[in-house]
Amino acid sequence: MTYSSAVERFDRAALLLPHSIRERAREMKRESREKCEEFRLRIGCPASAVMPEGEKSLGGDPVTKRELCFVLEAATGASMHTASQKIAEGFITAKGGFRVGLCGTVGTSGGEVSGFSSVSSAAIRISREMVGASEPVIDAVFPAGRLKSTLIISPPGGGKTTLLRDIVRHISSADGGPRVGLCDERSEIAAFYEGEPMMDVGKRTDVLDGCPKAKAVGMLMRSMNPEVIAVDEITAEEDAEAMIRASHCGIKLIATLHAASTGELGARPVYKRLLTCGIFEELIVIERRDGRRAYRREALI
Amino acid sequence: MKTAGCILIVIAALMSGAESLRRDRERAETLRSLTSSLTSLRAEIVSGYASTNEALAAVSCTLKGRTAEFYARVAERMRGLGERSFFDIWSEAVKESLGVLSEDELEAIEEVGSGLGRYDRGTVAAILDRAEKRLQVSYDLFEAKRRKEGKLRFLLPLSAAILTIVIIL
Repeated sequence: MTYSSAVERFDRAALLLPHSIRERAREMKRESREKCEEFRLRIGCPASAVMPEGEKSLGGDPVTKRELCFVLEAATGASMHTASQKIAEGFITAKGGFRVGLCGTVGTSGGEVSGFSSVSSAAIRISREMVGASEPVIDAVFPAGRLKSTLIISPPGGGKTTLLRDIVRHISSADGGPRVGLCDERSEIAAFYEGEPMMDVGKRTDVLDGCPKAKAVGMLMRSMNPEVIAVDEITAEEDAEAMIRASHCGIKLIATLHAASTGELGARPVYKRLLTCGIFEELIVIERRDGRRAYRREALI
Repeated sequence: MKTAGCILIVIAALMSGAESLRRDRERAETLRSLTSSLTSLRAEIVSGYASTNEALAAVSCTLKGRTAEFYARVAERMRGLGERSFFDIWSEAVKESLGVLSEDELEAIEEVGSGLGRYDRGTVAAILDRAEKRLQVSYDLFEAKRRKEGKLRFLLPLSAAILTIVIIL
């Protein structure tokens, strides 16, 4: 990703902020704007920007309830009614693919969260599409136009989704590349907004947006006949089961999960099962070395 | 000279009566189309799962006159969301396009702007229903009054003109 496009993404995300906060965000140095990962707004506290080294206050007056309402309105395009299901899950995807996480007092119905009765915090994540992020590993996971089922791991914020997106984009755009079914439960990979992907996920990719992963894998298999299924952040037993079933049908898999090392993977039953059942051929561990992202490969089969 | 003056008085009276009738007709037409547009808006949002912008654009395509102009204006200005609130955009368009309505009717339609896009489908539907009922009642009353007083409002200036001519002559 180029320097200018990183700043451009920052500027676009800042459009979701109320005026006074936006102005203060724009006053940040260019280098900081390039690296900024999130904006955080909490009622009663000044807004802040999340940087790789930690959260930095933007100063100014404390955030008000009215300003948070403004963020919600800008993020939903004044269409809260179309986003209520996502809001009940705690986030909205705004135009441009920016995820706005919410916190506050929830309303429940039948034991399920039905939405927020009041919002007290918002986190605007500045997602960045890094075209070419998969270059260091693509030859290993997609040798001679044949995809190896690949598992990507890293701690939170390590760049798993970015790498997954770019692998999907690369293989799906390659000449003679496979059809990819993409399960995008939290609208983070293709970042759908009003039915349109905000991120490039390739020309042969069918995206199932907002659907729970375990259901999405089955639906994609029945409806779109994918050759590859890509899933972000496997966490539950049913997600793993769905992946195993897909693999038994001859479908190649690309998936990510939260873990810092293979040792950590082995310590969790769900992840251990994925490793031992032999459905993945390659493991990519994303690490930070000298403040930079580095990829370490391990062959699993 | 007197004849010319009399002709001018009659023409002015006729024009004044006609203008009064035209304004009433325009208000009735705006009220009628605004009321039915709220039904369409409700259908687009509740049954069609449309976003506010899509719903407004779709409704504006099916209408004519001031109401179409109003919805098109709001849909167009929604590009500026983030710079201004939806309510500000809506209120401004109400003032610019629906000035022909009474204070009470304007208040009903402004209330729609304060709730549209801020709540779930059920609440939005309730807000639209409430506004639709208020406007329907207003339309019915106004139509009844128009039927009753329409001819009078046209003939009154004419009668006044004739009386003036009689006095002059």
